[in-house]
Amino acid sequence: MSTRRAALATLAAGWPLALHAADAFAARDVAGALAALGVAGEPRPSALVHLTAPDVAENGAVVPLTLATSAPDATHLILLVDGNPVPLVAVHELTPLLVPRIELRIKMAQASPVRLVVRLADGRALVASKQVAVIQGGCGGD
Amino acid sequence: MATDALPMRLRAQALADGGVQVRVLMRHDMETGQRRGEDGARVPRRHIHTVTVWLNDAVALRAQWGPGVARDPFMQFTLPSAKVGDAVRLRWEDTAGESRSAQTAVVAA
Repeated sequence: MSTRRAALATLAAGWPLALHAADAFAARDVAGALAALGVAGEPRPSALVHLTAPDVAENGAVVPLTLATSAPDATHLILLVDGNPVPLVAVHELTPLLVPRIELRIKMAQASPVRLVVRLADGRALVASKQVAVIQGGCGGD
Repeated sequence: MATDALPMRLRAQALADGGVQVRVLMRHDMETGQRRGEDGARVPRRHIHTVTVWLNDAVALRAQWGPGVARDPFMQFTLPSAKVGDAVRLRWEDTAGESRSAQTAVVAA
């Protein structure tokens, strides 16, 4: 069975893809969030991860992103913003019914790296990051 | 939720080169718990935590969100195997136990 087929079979079985993210959203840093999601080891920078984000966000309340991957055995798109009070923003579970490319608008409290981590079927992870400057923070904090 | 009166907008349209593009605008304040209201008190955290999308009866996407998704969440994605007339359904649940659903039929390009 190809890696892709194996990944799809795992998807069909619904395991281990239903990541329990509640603890990960409670984490206060990127490493803690990834550990809580069960991502094994340090994500490896990869050209198979495609993160589109503005260089400068005028309004941190609405920052448009495109999250995508061409990794054939990707199971999840995990989005993190280091500088947010809650660094984990979103966990998207991929299925064979979905093109692994999602457009989403997020909040950014301050200038920060934005990290798209792609979890693979074997638990390893790939990453692409981009620094985004923020003119006006969007989390409403003081 | 101030924006709760407005309905969720869900559109699914076939693409000329195959597949179906889904666009959704949910209505939710997505309160982070950081913001202060007019009375100076912090507005409690309340946000959508789970979004599920079905193509006909099969789950096509499941998302788990924290408070970092923007207010009135917008999401766009493509379902490669969907066809005109197929049903696309979306349901969200928030941290206060509220939920909303919407369904639409795929329309031609």
